[in-house]
Amino acid sequence: MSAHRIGRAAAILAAAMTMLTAGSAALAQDAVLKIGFVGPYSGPSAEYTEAGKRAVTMAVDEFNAAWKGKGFQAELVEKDDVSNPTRGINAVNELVSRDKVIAIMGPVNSGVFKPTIPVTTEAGLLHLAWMGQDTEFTRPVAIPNVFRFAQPNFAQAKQLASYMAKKKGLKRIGVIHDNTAYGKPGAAEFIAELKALGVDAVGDESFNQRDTDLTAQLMKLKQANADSILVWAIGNDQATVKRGMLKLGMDVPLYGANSMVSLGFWTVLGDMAKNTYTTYFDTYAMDTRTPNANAFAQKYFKRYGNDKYYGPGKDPYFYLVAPAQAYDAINATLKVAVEVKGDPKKMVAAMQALRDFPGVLGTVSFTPENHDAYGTASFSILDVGPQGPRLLETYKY
Amino acid sequence: MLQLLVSGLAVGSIYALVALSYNAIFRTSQVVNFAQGELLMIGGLLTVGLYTWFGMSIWLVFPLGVGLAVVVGLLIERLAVRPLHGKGAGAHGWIVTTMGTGIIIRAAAFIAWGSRDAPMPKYLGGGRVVHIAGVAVSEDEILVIVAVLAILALLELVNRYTILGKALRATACDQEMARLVGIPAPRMVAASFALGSGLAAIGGILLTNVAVSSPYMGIDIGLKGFAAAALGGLGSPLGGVLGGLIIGVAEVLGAFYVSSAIKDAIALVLLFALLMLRPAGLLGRDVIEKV
Repeated sequence: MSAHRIGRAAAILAAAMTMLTAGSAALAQDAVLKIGFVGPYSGPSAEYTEAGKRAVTMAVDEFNAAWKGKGFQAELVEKDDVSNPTRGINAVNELVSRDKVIAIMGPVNSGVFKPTIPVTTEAGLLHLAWMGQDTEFTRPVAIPNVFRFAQPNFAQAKQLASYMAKKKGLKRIGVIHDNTAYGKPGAAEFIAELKALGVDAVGDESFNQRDTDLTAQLMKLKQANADSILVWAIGNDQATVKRGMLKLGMDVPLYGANSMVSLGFWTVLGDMAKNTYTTYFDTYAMDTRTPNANAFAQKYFKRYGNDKYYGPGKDPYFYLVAPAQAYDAINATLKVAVEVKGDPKKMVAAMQALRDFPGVLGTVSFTPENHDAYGTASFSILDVGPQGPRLLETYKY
Repeated sequence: MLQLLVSGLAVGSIYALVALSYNAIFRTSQVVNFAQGELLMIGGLLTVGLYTWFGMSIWLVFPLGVGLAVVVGLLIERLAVRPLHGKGAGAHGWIVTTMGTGIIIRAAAFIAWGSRDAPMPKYLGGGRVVHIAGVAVSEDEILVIVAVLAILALLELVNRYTILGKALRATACDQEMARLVGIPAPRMVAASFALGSGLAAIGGILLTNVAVSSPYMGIDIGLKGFAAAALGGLGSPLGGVLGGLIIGVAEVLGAFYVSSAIKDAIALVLLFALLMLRPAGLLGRDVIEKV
């Protein structure tokens, strides 16, 4: 190799070293905000993990593009809990002790989220329930470090009970639910709310997820002369209830937990989804979408197209609510993280002080007593129907 | 009461079909293939996926769904069961390998399929309801009941009047004797795995008509099908069908007359009680082992 070529190679190397050093210096200025994300990556609940992951990935990319070289970069640390409480606790422990995250989103399932709370509470770490609807996360007393970005069970139970008993005057309400940690407590809260309004449910039936025949349970409710049915279960199973009702000629309205607004419900029922109602965010009802909701939908579509959360066509129904909850949760977290310069010890207080944050699903404000991002004003009664959910009434209990 | 019975028979028919699939394999191999639920799932998912998302004809997707399950069943026999034969592994060996295979198949299906739920294609009826003697019956329920009865009758005919059926029966009686008279026993065992896998796949296809399909659709049905086979007597096709129908009817009647919260427990208590009285099952034969 000639001296000339050696000299040129050395010059190129020196230039590269200089650029690398300059790059490292720029990167070194950006503090990394690590956020834990826990959920099952397999099993029936994996679709919620997937929904959340798509939204938080989008939010992190947007944040990193906006803050590059300006002091902060965000990073997701993902953990799979396989819907198992023990694995959930292990995952959260790892995030706290090893990964040193500044906040944790999830686990997804309420039954897995609940046992992980002591871990984050002891560490004083911000903990976000972006899917869990279990009332106990925020009521009767707010857990100091837990904040929810989802429609809580108590809000659904109160609104449905009040609407059915007071507004519609239904007196013989039959209840049916799945045997899971989702269906059982939800139905129990609904029955308690009914009782508080002076109405006793005429029946309380249960079934296993994915059961194909509910004739026995529905016949009991029919024999009890139910004038309406309330179902607390996932969308596919709510559809099985409706199919059973049609088979037995039960021409009474079917009210359901908000999972009625799911692809599974329409997948099974199609045109049979008449006379079905739920309570949900009116920000995504087909006729009452807000500008924020539309903007999120457009961004989401641009990145992921017609995936199962966006739904078919250009006009999404309600499927984007789960991703939107995760998107709101991480954006609020990143906002307070910037405010406290990524100090994990200050995250909880900063989140509690959050006021008028413009989320996709509503304007979010927290107080020491209220750790639910979406107040009851966000929810309305929707006619689920075969054509997609539409606002039926902006009923507030 | 009649309404409940009909619903119970429809629910039990699926269990019966899965029980038949367990029995088909057990008769010749004395092996309980714990991956039967996953073979059911393969048949269901492939059929519904090809039909819904690729728009293929039902006349093509049915054989493809059953065919793939048969191929997987044969692979299970060749790779997870046959190598243990005569190696002193006993039942422990095939229990572990077939269960493990089931877990692997489910995981593979999840990777290929994702967490999505497939729509119910309604290729086997529109879900309309007919009323017979005051009993509301959906087309789906009629289809399942008729299909199971037809399959049972067909199996019986094959069993009694074809060379294949006679060879299978001979292998079921005594593999060594069958081999001595020129019957290729290992091939008959493989054939029974193919038959059992095909039956499970048909169960899966029927199930896609009444429930949303997913990689997890075979877990519960697989267990209940096994319970039905045990109740009826492992190795007895008619017993398996009877066991399936009894469990189905018990579940529905139990949910109505006792409590829907313990309907599974009712069926299992029934199973437990019957097996205490008849350990070999309703129509199973007591096996006397020479020592």
